[in-house]
Amino acid sequence: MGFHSLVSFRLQSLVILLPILLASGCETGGSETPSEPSTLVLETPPIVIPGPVVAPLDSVPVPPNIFEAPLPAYTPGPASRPAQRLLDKAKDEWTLSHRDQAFALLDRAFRIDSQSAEISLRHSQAYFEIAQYQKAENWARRAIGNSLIAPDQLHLAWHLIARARYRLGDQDGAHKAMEKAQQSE
Amino acid sequence: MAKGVPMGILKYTRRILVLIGISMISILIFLASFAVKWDQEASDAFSSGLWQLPSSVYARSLEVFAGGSIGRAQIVEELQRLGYTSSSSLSKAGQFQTKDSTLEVITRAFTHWEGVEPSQRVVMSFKGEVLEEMKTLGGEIVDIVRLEPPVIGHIYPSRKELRQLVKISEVPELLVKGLVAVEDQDFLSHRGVDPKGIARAMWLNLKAGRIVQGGSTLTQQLVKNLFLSSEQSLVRKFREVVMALLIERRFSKQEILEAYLNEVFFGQTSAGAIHGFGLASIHYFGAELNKISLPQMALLIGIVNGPSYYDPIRHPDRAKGRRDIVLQMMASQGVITPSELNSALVAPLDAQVARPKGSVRHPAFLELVQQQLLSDYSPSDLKSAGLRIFSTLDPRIQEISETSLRKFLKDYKEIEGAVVALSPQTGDILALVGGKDSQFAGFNRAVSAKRSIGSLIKPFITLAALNEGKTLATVLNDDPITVPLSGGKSWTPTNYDGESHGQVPLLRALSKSYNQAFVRLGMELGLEKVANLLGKLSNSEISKDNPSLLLGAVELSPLQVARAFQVIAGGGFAIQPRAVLAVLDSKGAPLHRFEQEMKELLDRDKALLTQFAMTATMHMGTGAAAYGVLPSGLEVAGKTGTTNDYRDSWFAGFSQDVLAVTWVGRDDNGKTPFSGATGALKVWAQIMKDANSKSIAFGRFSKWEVKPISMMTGQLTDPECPDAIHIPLNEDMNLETASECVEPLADPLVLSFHEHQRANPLIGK
Repeated sequence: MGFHSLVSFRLQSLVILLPILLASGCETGGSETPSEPSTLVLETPPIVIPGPVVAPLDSVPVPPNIFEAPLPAYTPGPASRPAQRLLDKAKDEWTLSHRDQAFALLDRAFRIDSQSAEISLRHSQAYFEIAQYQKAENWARRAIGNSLIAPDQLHLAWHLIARARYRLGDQDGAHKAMEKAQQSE
Repeated sequence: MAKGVPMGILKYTRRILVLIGISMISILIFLASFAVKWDQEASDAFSSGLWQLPSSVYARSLEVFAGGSIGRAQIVEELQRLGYTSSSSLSKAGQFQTKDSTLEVITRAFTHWEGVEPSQRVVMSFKGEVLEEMKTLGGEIVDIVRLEPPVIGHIYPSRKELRQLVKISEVPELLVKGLVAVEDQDFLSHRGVDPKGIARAMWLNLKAGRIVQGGSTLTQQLVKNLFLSSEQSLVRKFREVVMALLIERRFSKQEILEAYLNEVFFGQTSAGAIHGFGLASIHYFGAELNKISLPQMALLIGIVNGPSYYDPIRHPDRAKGRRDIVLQMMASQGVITPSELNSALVAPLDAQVARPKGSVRHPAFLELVQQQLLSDYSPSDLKSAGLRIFSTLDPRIQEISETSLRKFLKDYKEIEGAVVALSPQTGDILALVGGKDSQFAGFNRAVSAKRSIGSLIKPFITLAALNEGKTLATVLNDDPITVPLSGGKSWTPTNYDGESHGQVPLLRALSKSYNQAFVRLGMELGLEKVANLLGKLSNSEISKDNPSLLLGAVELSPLQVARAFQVIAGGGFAIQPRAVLAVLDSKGAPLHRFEQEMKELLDRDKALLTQFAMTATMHMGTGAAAYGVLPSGLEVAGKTGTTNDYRDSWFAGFSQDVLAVTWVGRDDNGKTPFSGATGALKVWAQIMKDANSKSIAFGRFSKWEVKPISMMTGQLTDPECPDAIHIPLNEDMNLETASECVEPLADPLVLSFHEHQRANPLIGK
């Protein structure tokens, strides 16, 4: 369209427009309608903390359930210095219940020092704590697969697997893993 | 009522007037309903903001720490990639300084998933290339520095508009004044439509004898660009005017101007349409908008009037003429002084052809990123919600991979290729090349090309054999074999060299890729076991119906192949390959983190034994040519793959930290001149060399010990024999026979491996 016809359109349009604007009052409302809520949600894994096993009052006392007992005392093993720094930060975040941040830091630590059994164990412990037992077992097995795993770490890893198996309903697997844990003492 | 007027006429007149009234009201209601609709449309577009802000995809963040494998050159390369400037005195973030053995840098602050990484000033000390220590200026040790990740691309709306958003406060005042002076002098006073402006434009155009100024206001131009088609009609013009008036009532002049500056069209490139002054400045001058000169501003303002007609690259004379008109208009309205005008008029055009910042550099990888995210995000959110996507891509490995493939195939027009590189320990995809023209977003062969894998299947048959109690010393029969097929047919595979090799240990049969031995072994194991194992590791369906499976007549993509080999390289742990680590929203708030999905799929010892067998392939088998490129001290594992008539050339292999799969072939499945060893292996070796990858560190074999085995007989032998290769074997295995040394040794590569092992003994249990 040429410039002159553009101009003539504009003038014609103005003539038509004025009564329309008067009629519509230029206020249509609804313009402040908020946009649709975002479908993007922060993923937070469900947290299930298993309760203590309590013997019925009238029953014969049963020996304490070894799978519910506290995890064995454990001296953290070595990780490279930068990875250790990230593990420390992850621990701080975990203490503050910032679990996503803690996992992200564990992930970073693993990416820079994937040969560290300690980092795999920390993953396992973290997943165990939030009741993701299959993941806890997988990471413990990964720690065991590390050729430089220390005896303390090996012991803890088998304990984690035993407890994870128990909570997943695999009594047989739990007992076998517990045997391994005891052998590694 | 007037006297003397017949009643009939009066009656008709009244009826006509009523009809006209009703018609007028109907038309008004009809048109008003459109006004309401358009008002809503304009309001929604403005209030949802952004004009479809594309998602930004970042590469991995480089983690720098003492004792790591990242050297000085690599750190400097990354700083340059991030746009850091070298400076003799550091004063602000984004600068660095290199001295004899130190590198000082002020990093930029950046918001990652787990929070803000603050800016910090660090002095890095090197011994040669190796980073020995990092300290603050105060002498405090710094354990780790994470640089911000470079942007590797964007995910754009389907209209493929390239844009770099600018805020009105960041735009030079001179440019805004110049734009208003040229395009809409009464912008600050009119209500969206400017009759005075129209009259002025007509007068100027008549005077000049050509169109030098348009009559549309900036608001009208914005409406036209945002909401209307290029159709020329009265209705469209009417709508433009109505919407311009409505927008002016709802939004401030500043908001309208900012929208205009970001929306205006500047031309088409192969990567997409250039929109907005922000990207136009980078496209034409390679500089941010707040860094350009007066003549450059005038040129951009001039281009708005006709992006193709005034394209300064294709039509520099026209563009200069237009720029000068703009400068004169700016001077005539007092925006610039006469002396500024004079010096600007003599300035050269200064426009260059630059890669638009928003263009996609790694389309194959970005496609994979989108695939991974589409299970969690809608396509529209991905393309327009301004997400910040943190990927696993290592730009250095990506560039190395692209270069290696491109260089190798530069003289082969019809032949294509693909590369997948990932971290065998974490599953992070480090590089993905979908074709030799890696900038072309066409067929992504790395993900979508399903090709026969040839002898790449042999490590998986080896694994299946180890699962069945065989060892790397198990002697296989490589005599000719005929496999009966259904319908009375039969299949007689042959070896690559056309010869039979009699009795050979499994380790040597794998290294040399003996077909007859492996078909016999596979038939003994059963097709189902092999198919199930490969299916499990590659996460794909593998048919077990045809014995040709045993020579790799199974179609997998390079990514699927990489996935299967990752389990071997990862010591039996399968980690789902991931291209994305995390997603933040446009304001930096965390949305989604992708965890490592890990599962133990193989017995660790079997995986390590297969790793070892694949290192033997590199020393005494079909992979040996790689050491023509690789440093001799680099311990890597690998396997070649070739299909009938050289239709596919494969190589899959890994070091401690990089697993790469390369494929070379034709899209039409035609013949190539390459076997696995003469094609894909060369691409692979160059990648592994340039990546400075780390040697495989063999861990402990839990119930195995290392014994010298003759590669000629498969029997226990004297470790000093030239045919003796130390291999891990089950400690319970009863190896009674000690064979004599085989002299003279027929295979120099075995002797070479024997010598290599003497210099680098395998660690035992």
